[in-house]
Amino acid sequence: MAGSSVNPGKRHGIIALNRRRQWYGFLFVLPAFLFIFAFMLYPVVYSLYMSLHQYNYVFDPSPVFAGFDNYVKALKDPTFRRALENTIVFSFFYFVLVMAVSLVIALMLFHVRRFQSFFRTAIFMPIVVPVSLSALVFLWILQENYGLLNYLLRDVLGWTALARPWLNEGPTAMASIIGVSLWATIGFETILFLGGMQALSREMLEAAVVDGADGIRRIFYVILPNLKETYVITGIWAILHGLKVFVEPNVMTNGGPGNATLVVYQEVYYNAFNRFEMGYASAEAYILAILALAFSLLNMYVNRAKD
Amino acid sequence: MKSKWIDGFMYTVLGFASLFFITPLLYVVLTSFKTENEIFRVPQSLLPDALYTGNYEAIFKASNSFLRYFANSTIITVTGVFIVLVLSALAGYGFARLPFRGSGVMLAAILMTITIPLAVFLVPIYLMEDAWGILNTNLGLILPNVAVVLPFAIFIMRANYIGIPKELEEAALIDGCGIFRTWWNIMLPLVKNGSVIVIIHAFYNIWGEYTLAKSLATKPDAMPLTVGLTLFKGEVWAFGMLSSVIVLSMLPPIIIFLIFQKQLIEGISQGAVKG
Amino acid sequence: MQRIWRKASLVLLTCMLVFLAACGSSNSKSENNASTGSANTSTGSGASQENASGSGGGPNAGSSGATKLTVAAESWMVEKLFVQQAVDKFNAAHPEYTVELVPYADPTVLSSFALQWAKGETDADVVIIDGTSNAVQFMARDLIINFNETNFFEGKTAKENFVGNVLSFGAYNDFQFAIPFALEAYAFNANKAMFADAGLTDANGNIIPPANWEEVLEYARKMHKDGKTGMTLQWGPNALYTMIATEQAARGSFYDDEGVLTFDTPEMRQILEIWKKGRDEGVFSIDTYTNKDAGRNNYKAGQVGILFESGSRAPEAAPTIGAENATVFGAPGMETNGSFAFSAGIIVPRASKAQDLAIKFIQEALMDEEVQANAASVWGKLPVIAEYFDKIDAEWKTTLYNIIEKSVTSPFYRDFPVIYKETPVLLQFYLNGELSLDDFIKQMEDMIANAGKEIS
Repeated sequence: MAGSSVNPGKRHGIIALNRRRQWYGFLFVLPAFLFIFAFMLYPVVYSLYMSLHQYNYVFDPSPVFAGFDNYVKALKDPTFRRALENTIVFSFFYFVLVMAVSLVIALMLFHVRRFQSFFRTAIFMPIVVPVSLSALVFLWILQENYGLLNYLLRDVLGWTALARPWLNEGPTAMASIIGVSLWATIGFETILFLGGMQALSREMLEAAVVDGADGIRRIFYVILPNLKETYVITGIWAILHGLKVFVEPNVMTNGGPGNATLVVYQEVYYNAFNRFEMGYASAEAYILAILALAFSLLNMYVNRAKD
Repeated sequence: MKSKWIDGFMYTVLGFASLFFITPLLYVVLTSFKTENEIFRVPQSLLPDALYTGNYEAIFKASNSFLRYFANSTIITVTGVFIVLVLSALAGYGFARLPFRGSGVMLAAILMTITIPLAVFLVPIYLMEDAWGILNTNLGLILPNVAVVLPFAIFIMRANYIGIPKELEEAALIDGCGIFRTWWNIMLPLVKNGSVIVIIHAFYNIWGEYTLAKSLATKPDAMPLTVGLTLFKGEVWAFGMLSSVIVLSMLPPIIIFLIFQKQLIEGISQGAVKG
Repeated sequence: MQRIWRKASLVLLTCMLVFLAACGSSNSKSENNASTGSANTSTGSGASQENASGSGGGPNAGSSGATKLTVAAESWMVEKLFVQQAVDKFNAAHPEYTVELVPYADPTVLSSFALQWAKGETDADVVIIDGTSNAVQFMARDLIINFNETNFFEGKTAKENFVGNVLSFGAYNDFQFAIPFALEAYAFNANKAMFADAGLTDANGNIIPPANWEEVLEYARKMHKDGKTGMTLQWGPNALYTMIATEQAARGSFYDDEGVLTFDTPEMRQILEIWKKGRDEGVFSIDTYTNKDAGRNNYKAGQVGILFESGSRAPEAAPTIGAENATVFGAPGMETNGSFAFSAGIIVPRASKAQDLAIKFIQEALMDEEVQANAASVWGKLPVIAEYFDKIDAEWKTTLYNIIEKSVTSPFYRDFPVIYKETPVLLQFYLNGELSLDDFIKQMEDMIANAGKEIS
């Protein structure tokens, strides 16, 4: 993947220089790599080891090797499968919406001249509130009787038929969770998109205007095709946020009604800290990680494919 | 004519979007000044009857550690953001422009660490920090936070370096600049844009981090704001109290944003390459 | 601008170098740790048993001289259970000791405690946890003391002075692993104004308690109007407690002949049908499906006639709906059979160096009459010592005392968390019509049968 930036025009370049560049590349990456692995190596190894063992850290004397039993058991467990299904449904809608809406907002912010700082401030504001707290706020806003949303629908707008127990019916509960996630994260995704747009070279944009591509056409022919690296970034971020969603359903619906909003991360947390089944929880976590890694790499591949 | 229509459309959409994002926060600010009776009133009134400050008083009365939490959060966030910025500025360049054998694998390995749910890391991180003796310290929170935030920051920086035209770098190299000098003199000033985004990303994640903090900082002296403030939670969150807690934890980032607004906006919008 | 940028970068570079050095050393450390760490986990339990036997010479060993005590409590307890007051009183009465109160944010912190205790270390000498059943894990690993081996049950805190059989809430066989603190029992919290409005009160304005669940449904129908909810049952995350409270009241037990939890009884089947009817009609609200506090908040807002969950909700709602309107009565059968009750639990880790002082503190400060009576009067968290009920001045006092005296707590099964988590899911499926009553009961029974029950 990183190979794409090797410069093919430099075939005649001195091999020594190329070596030196490689060596420098390694040196540039090393500090960050050491930092991450100093801290993550043990946790990763520990949890991987656990995922291959049967181990309840309260009741079992020691871990017993179990091969892939935990993985098989998880994939056969109807609750886990339901959670996986919900997670994928959530991620799909979340991904599509967060990418589309943030991109549109970023394009508009990039375009408009007046009230820039007001719009920016308003749209970026939600990112200063930790998700754990904003989920609690929405829990109140979405309550049936005294919630703000139903109040606005019923008493202010007069659309009584639309007022409902948002979090207590499967489809609206899932929709609410997606909505809250969007509210909390669109600001950040917009910043990422905006950053990508503003990194586009000015000549390119100006040349487009000279060529007669203005407004909409400039967007489709000049801006969007040149945001590939930005799609990689925003895509990975959205995929990870989607698949690892936890706080919103945990705070707002507790996985309910029934298990309509139960997600994989909740299962991991519950098995690790309520049942103390470290082995099983780790296996579930790795199933999620494999999915996340696969989708992230797929996203990178798709956006680089035409290079 | 046509573009006027489009402009009008854009302003309308942005206006509604702003409303959507800001209403819940305004509602929180208003609620923080309501008494419990008003909060439970059906149908509710949006504006508080009077400016009731009891929710805020309760916080400062219940604990004089607010400043302590605030100081911890500030130290952890500032140091953490700084380290993330430096390391990602370096590594991003390496991955983007100086690919070496195995760099692809390294990048994938780094990505892998953030795909795994943090929940299964809590116990091993606890054991590790216990062995190092840094539980309940600011350092003990800075390190894992950086490790968690850094991978994505590297991706952001990497994308930014890739966006810079190769000619600039080549020109510098031909001028006889070493690789390090090229990075330092030419490349670094060009990724200001990305640095600002990395700062926002790191700040957002470290300032609001809760999962790690609650298991690694169990003594009030070492708690950051996110955990310290949950101590004000009753058996369940009273909405008035919750609102004032949110307003208080929102204020510092907003103040920072207002102070550095010029630099931040400049950073985001001046990154365009002038050639 | 350029200059500032360069200067900043210079500072960055210096720091980077420092970190390079630091990283190198921490990396080697982590590798060391990785090997010893996993060794630790495999022998973890063995080590903890050694610990336990090490201090098994008795809790008094080497702890008589301690003058400092750290008490950890979940943050809400500081105020609602008057733990702060208890600490202050104790400090004032004993200038020779210093007791420090450290609040913790949420129950998952307990796993950090467990990791500490397994190594024979502790930051806290007394820990108050939400729900005695959460202490079972520490007993299983032998990390906490057995109060039966101490002089705790002497004097004022003798076993016979405790209400009903509340000590059993923190006991497993002969092991008293936790002292119950702040009792709660499931009951009907009522909004009297709504009862009067629907004509469900007698000449004196007192609520006429419904005799059976048919009548409860009838009551709910009458109060369900003007946008207000007739009745809310805790059908959310705590649905299991609602079910065992109901069954305990209806037939005096929720165990079968072999002593295993069961809901396959004629009484429960009949009640479950009424629940479904009430849910279908909308007079039993589904507010609590996803938010266990929704009923509590609606009740506080004066929107619910009957709220079936912890009986502490009525006292707590007095400030918003008026003390004269907030009252408690038993679900059908509770007056004779009792209900489901639970309490916070006080535990002392074996790793504590101040166990004597810890016992003294619990006896004097936490079992203090004023402390417990305050928690009851303001928040409805009831005393564990029977005679302290005299101190409470509220209408609901006698009702709750009568119920709690006969109440029992949930079983201490190893897989209790599984039953606790699966019950609301299945119950909601049943109530929503996705499962028939027979299938629901069958799946519940299967789940219970498959759950591990042995603790040690």
